Amino acid sequence: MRENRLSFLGSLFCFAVAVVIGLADQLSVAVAESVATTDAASAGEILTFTRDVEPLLQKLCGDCHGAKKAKQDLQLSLLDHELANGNDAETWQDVLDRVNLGEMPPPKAKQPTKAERRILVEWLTAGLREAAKSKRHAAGRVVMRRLTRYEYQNTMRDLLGVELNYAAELPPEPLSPDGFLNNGASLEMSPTQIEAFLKSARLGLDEAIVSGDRPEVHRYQKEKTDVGRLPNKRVAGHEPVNPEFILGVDTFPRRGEFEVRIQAGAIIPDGHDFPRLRLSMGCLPGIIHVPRKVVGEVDVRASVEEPETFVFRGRIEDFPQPGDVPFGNIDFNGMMVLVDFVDAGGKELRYPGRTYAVPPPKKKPTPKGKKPTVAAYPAPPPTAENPRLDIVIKSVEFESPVITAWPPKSHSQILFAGDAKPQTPDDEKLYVQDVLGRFAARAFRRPVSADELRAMIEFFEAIRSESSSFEEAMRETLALVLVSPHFLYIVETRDEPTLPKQSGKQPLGDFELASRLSYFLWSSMPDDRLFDLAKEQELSKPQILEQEVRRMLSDDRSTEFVTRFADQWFDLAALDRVAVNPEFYPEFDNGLKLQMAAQTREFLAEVLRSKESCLDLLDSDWTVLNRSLAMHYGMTGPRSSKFERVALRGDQRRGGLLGQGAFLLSNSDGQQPHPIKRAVWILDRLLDSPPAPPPPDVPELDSESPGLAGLSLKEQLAAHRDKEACGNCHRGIDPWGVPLENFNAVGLWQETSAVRRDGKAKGGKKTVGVPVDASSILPDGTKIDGLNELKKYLRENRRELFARAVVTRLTAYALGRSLDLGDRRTIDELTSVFIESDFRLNQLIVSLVSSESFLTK
Amino acid sequence: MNKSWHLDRRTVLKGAGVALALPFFEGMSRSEEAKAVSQPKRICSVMFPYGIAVPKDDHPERDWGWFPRGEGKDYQLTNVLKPLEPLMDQVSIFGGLSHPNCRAMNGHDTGDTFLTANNLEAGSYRNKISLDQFVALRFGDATRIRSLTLSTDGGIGPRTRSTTLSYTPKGQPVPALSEPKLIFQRLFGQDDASQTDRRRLQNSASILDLVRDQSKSLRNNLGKPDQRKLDEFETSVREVEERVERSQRWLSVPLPDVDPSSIALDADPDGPKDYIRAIYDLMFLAFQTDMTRVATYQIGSYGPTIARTFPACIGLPGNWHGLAHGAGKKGGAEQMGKFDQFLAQNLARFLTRLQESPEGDGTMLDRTLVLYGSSNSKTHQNRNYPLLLAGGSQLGLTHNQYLRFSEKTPMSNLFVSMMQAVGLEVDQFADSTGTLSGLS
Repeated sequence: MRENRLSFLGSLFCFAVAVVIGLADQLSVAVAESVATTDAASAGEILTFTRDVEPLLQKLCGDCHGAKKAKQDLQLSLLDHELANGNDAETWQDVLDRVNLGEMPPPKAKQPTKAERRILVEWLTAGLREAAKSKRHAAGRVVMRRLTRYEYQNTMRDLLGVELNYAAELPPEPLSPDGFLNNGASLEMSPTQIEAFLKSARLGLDEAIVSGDRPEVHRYQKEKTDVGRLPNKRVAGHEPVNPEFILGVDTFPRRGEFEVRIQAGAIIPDGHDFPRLRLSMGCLPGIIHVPRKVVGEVDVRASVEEPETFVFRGRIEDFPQPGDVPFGNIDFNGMMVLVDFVDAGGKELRYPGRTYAVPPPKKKPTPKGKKPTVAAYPAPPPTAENPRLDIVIKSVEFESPVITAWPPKSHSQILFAGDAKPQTPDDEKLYVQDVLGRFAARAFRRPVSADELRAMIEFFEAIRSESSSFEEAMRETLALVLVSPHFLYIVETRDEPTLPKQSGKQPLGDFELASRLSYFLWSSMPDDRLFDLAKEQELSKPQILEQEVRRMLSDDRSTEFVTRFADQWFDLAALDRVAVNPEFYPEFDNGLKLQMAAQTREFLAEVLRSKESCLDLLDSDWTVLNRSLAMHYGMTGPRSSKFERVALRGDQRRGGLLGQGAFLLSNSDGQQPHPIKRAVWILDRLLDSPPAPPPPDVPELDSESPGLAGLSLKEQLAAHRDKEACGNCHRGIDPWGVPLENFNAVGLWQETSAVRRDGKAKGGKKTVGVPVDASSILPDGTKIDGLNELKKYLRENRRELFARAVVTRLTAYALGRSLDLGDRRTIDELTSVFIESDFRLNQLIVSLVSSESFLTK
Repeated sequence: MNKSWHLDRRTVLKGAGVALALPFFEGMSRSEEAKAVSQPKRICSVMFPYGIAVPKDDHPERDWGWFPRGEGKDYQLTNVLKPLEPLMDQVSIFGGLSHPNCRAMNGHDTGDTFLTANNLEAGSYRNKISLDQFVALRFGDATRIRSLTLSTDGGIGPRTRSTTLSYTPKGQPVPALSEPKLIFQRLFGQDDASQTDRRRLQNSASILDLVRDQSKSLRNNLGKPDQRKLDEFETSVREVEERVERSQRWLSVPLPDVDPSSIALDADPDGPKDYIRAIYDLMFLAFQTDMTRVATYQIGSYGPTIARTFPACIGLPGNWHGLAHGAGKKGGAEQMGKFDQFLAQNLARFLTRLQESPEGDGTMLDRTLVLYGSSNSKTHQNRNYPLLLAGGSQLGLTHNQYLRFSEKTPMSNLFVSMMQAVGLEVDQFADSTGTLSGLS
């Protein structure tokens, strides 16, 4: 069951169910009269529910939402009409929205007179205003929220100054009912997490605070590939390993950072895509299996004459390492730096003059009993279409650990005294106090009280003599800080004594504001500047606040905002939940899913950075593409794997989100497009009006059932809608998905779609192509013919609804909680500001952080 | 990726038959201790989502239905459960059971309640303790780890679409582990034997204590809902403290020496065959080394689970959810049945391994109860769960039968029977009305 949420259509129905179950018996008890005063227009007149409103509801809505028939499970007489203090205000809000939009009563039903409509709207509006106020009084929302996995990762990195996979052992996070990962109410805490937090804290501190001498650095460098390190046997059925360059690393630290520097240039025929270097690290545990993991990839744009040096970094413990004992009779027991050459689409490049193992056929299974063979074959000679493309490696160098200073910066940042360590016990005491005070203030994102500090010092002193060193005792004490609720949660305390009587709202403190800002725009802790401004109580001054938001948005760390917000708003994780059927799409490479997600993120980033109108998300005459996606879409585009802005001249199919692979594929079933999923996505994510989830026991549309076989999809949908149980909802859903039928499951354009006829149909059981009919009539009667008209319609006719959807999603994300009636005013105001500012996202962000909802708790 | 190099290799404990010493607890005599070591009793629960095909008896695809034909001792397995045939002396299949509290819930909401039998009360989601946690609490400190909670998706998942089967006494979801590597580490990775580790373990106790103090003083400055969040925090910290104390007691006992290369620890759900096998292997290993006696595994959740793509691994079209919805259509039961058969093959392999492992005067399976099934029959139907119970012939259970029940019998009665079989003095769980007749 979903939780209630502002203007969330789905909750309307769910809520009604809750009401039916929860309130039925209460209603037999005498019902208190609800009274609400209205605005100046009807000053003096007091509307009462039983006298003025109830008869109207009965007359206008009773047929469908009454005791006999409760469409969408909504029976109005069961709702609590005590708006301010009852439980159903959110449902009533939805009722009001529907009435205001003219959707209810439906056009075919009897319509209210002007006076009747006024009574309804005024009673609801006034009552809901009261409800919003009383909601504030109750202070009933979760404001304290745990750091998400990614926030924790970023915060630990920024706090300790060490790049580590801190979140490795944390369980995945649940999505909140409104689709966010950072919703305080959904983020639970469990023993598993506490254990993982403590373990990560210790791992990080072991790395950040060092003891002892500068460790030995392992360095290897070669100009020529070291093929002898590889086994020369290839065994059937195993991924052949044909790296273009191998550097053997005999000795290395088991943990720590490494750096690989590659000097290389390329021969690139005119206009050809840039070739790419792919670096992986692996080892040799056996003769047939070379486990390896990719470190990174980079375009080689430089010439052979003036080669470029590429630097890759990673943590060596994240890559496959050999065991302690060499395998079999191979004397090499180190790690290998492996370099491959790939084209812009990620496929391995083949070089004349070398032989390669042919990988076993990917999709076709080998006949039973036969083992797949791996034959060696020479690379094909260059042709006019595939001219010779070459990378020349001048040198590959490996180094680990990477030490730029000793002790490292992470160490001296925490233990700032360096060599001037305190000598006497008294000095040490002061020093400890200083170290802990500084660290804890950054970790807690606010000044630390004397009491808090005292407890930490006592702990330090208690374990000091038992610990092997001063540093070890310090690590353990700092670990204490890193499992404190003040660190793991974003805490906003309530100051009860100063609570103003008329409102439960309290202004945010400057430090709290700094955290809200930094977790909103960077998904991490505030930086020094934000802390300084908070300390001087400058941050909350409107001018400074705006200036800071602009600074934060232009900082690289704001990429994190674009990524996280896009992922959650557009549900990009859904790409992983669709398995593309290789029988239908043998060419489809799963790596494209990553590119698709990246395209949608980059698109949002471009809207933000270039200050484009957010309406471009609905339809645009440009998009962002890289080489592999352009190839997939069948377009000419950039030569490299970097995303670039591309103008869509004349053909706008790929404009906006609806022309992007991420949306199209994630809302398919891996074989066919899924118009219902696509429609629901549009209604939910772009218009914030999701339809109700399907009721229990509804069969899914099955293309192979006798009645539906051989029909085009649109015809099947129509047949499905004719069923009484389905039609009610699907009349409002399907028309939004049908215009997208020209895009197949993996987002490619199609003029015909495959339909399977069963054996009874003429011609027997087979798959046939049926021309796509992408014309549709939207619920408001608008005729739409195909994708471009749908996008145009959304952009022209639904811009206000879309604006509100953007504002609602962004605000929920920024606040890290579900919105409620108390936020209604903020949403209303922000929506108008957003529309007035021509739908600029950066302007919306600036307005949002200065809104009441953002600045109060 | 081809992983044949570690398939079918038997999991070997280095120096097989390692004598697993338990720490000597006060109040436990040596002989009791020895008995507990040689004869541990265990409970394992495995759930899959979306239900099964239920074609009528005269349906042409009846043999792809999950439930057997016939009843009682006179039953015939269909294709789906055929893989269990050699094991039927240790298996009972049940028809007609479900949780009465959950029958009216949304069809996809019942993953959360498979082991809790609780009504989630639409809107105000509250769950209760699950069978495994209830048992784990009562088994207590007999093992290093109280219980193992696993799922393909990992974590807890969204409410009503949870990705875990386990719930604490307060009804809080227990996050499931999903990555074989992490599961292995949780089982065998914590060797606290070094000096630093010992000291740190000791520190952990004080750290957790102090953190709880901080939480308590923070409480006064927060609103009601936030205080609930702190409750959650404090309960979790308290539990880790208990785990730390337990670890300290186990310090003198060396961890079993297990060869990690015997399991496909790099398997992930992209390769379902290897993955499901690795998970069963890990549960087997956890039982064999007596690291724990309680485990749950959720093969997939009812939500947007990774497991939706699983049927593709044996060449079936569409996703799991789609297959389930199509199971009533022509040819649909066969496709669904083929996938359910695949799942049954995996279960059979796990049971066979338990049966082939001698223990005391019998085999591991003789004292291990494996509950297996789904909380839907046809998809969205919260009645007539497909269920079976395997193992426990030395715990007084009768097997080799297909028992059918009316809706008057709640599934919790099976839970009570299971708990009694493993020696717990329990006569009530959730909405139970007694034990399950015909099982003992």
